[in-house]
Amino acid sequence: MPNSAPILVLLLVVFVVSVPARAQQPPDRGRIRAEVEAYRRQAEQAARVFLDASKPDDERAAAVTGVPTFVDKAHVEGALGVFRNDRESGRIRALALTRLPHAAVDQDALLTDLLKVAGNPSAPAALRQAALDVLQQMLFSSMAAHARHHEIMTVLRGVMRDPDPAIRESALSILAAHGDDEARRQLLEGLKSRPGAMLPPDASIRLLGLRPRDEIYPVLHQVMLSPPNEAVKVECIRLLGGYAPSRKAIVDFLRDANESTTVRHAALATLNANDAERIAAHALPVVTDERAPEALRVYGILAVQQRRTSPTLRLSGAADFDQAVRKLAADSPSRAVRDAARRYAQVVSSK
Amino acid sequence: MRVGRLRSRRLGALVLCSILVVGAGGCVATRPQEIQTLVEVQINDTAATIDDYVAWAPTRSRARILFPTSAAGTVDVTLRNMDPPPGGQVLFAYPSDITLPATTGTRPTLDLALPRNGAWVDFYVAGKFGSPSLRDKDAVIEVREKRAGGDGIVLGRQALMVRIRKNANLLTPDERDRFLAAVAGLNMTVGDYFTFQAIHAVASQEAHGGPAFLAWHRVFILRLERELQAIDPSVALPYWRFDQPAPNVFDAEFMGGPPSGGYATFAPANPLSTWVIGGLPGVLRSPSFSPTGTPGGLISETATLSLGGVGNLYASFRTMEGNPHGTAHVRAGATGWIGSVPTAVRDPLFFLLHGNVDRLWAKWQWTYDRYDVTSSASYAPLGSHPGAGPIPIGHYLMDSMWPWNQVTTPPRPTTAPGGAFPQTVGRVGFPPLQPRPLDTIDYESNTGNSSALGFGYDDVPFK
Repeated sequence: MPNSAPILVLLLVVFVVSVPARAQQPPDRGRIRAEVEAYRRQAEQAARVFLDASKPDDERAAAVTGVPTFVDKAHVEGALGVFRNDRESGRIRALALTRLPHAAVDQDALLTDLLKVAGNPSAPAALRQAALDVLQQMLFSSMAAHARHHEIMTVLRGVMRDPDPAIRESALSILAAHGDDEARRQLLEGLKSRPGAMLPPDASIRLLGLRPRDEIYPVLHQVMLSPPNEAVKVECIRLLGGYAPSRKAIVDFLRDANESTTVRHAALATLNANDAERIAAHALPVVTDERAPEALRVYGILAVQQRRTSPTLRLSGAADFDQAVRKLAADSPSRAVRDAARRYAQVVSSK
Repeated sequence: MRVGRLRSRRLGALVLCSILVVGAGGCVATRPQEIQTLVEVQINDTAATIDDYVAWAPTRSRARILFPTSAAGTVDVTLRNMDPPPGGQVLFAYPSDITLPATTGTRPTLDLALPRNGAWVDFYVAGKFGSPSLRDKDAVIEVREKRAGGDGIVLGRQALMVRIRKNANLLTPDERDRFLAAVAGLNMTVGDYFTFQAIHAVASQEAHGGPAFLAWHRVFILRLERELQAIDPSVALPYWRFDQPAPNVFDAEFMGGPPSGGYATFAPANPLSTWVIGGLPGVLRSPSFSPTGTPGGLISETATLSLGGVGNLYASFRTMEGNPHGTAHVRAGATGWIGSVPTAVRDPLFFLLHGNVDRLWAKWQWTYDRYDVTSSASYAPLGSHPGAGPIPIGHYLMDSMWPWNQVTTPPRPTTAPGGAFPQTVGRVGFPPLQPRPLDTIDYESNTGNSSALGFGYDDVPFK
């Protein structure tokens, strides 16, 4: 070895392996505890200002801007009192409500208050919206909410026809997510007789899709065939993939080059969701059509790729699809399609 | 000399090593399988490589001479990391180093005397905090003959991964893509994702509103993580740090960009672009915040850590179930799937959200040393369900948790999808078939034969 080699070697080592060491320093327990204590003091200070009813609302609101929750038990109780006090402004009451760690207070009592506010059309809109917001959070986190589920749904049904669209949609979305029959019925009625609709039709259909039931499909089928706009048509298509009477129409939408990409994409996606065994057969005509939208073709290739190696699914038309994709990987003028086809070939051949 | 699958930036190191090592008269390659192995190392005390994954907690391991003889005496060796960062780094410990209260590996190198008769010698290995792996098996333990005055020859190498749950917003594109492929694969190819939706849809009282909220979800997301690892063992569940902007998370290349028509938007090649669940295509999600913003009204990490109150008690801390947990759900999609318990798991963002919930619990545990399962400061209520009372069964420390206990008689739900908790090579018993909250508290316990539940967070050190 030449005499200068060790120096060269050393330089090579430095060059090749010298990447910035990005090892993270361990956090400091003491610093974190100090930060927590500092937050507690900040929250206490903010609470003292906020809970002082003699101060102007603007000052009270500004005090809690950087303090999303109160911690001290007495301050939490104080905030609860502000929320319940209908002599306070709606704004301050809403701020008080959102500062409550609601899981830390008597949840039955809080629920009663929330339902009273949410169901009162005379209460300030900001307060009602905050109440609905907290209610939705409690439905996630509160055993009391679970126990009083029926009561909550009853109150929310009363809010369904609220003149405020944001409040209406909040109530409806909670109801729909919990599979409420009355909400579903109202949403469906609104689709049938649009002047009576509580929400725009596409929003209604999305909410119906949160917990779809069989009774919605015939209605959606009719709407799909005569939609007021494309957004509604797309929403219907998404939900109707498993409804046998709609299948032919959906397949026709997919194959119709005059349909928009959005409609065709929704058609292929819902077929992927509901007719996975035949996804290769559904996707093949689109994937091999060089005039079809690129994004749609890439979707088709990826959808089949993901199903192709399933241990439980037997895809019909898989061999034809594989052959077509091999050709696309070599010949397609679209780079995105070629890339997708190559990834497909890689994944499928490796299994 | 085989170049094999070496990355180009390692090529220089390979050439360099060749010059050095050939000059020294030793072996000539840099990857474990490319040298003649004279010392065998087993991570988790198994020959299986499927469990060669560590977190920050110490993992029992062992080494031995591979071709034993009847000769007496030992071969002195030194264990160390083969490659410098980036990539996983480990620390070592002797069994005598691992004492209660728990300790983990702290030695950058470890000297062992391996009997020539092939008997095993135990040691511990742990991920070095701050140096998690970036790729599968990018950490390599190198065993060198110990010589006075310099390095001896390489006698063996063992690849492993320091597999850590990371901030989703900071993943490398490769880490992100591996996670996405695994999640999509679990749903679209294997078809088991829907089981998680089926469980959570009816898990209301079992998993929410009570003391076991955190414990139940720790097990629930661990279950998913292990399913992902069955597809790609290099995957760890990332977390959505919801009190900070996460533009890389809410992006079409990752968990979905700004919604179109109420649905998250994905890049065409994103594996989630073909997401379907329960006969419904797409991901219904309309966050109330922009990708560069944060959910309104959601409390910060510091505020969350303060929830334990003056005594930093679990009974108070667990109220984080309301805010930030419930707030994050509702802000991520009040009119979408993730906004309600019955539908939340349809959106895979659920697991990143709960990854952060779990991380916050882990952070609180670490900050206030809350691992003692005999103390109500760490978990309350202790003991078992007394048969009656306001706290339902399943929420006491010693109660088994549905659905893994397979109990379907009232007051439990009438179905128990998914079965008992599946056991994993190298982690049998961690958690047990029927986990209890007890099994989730000291999640990094080193009293067993493995690093307990087998996960760690990038910003929560070993206890």
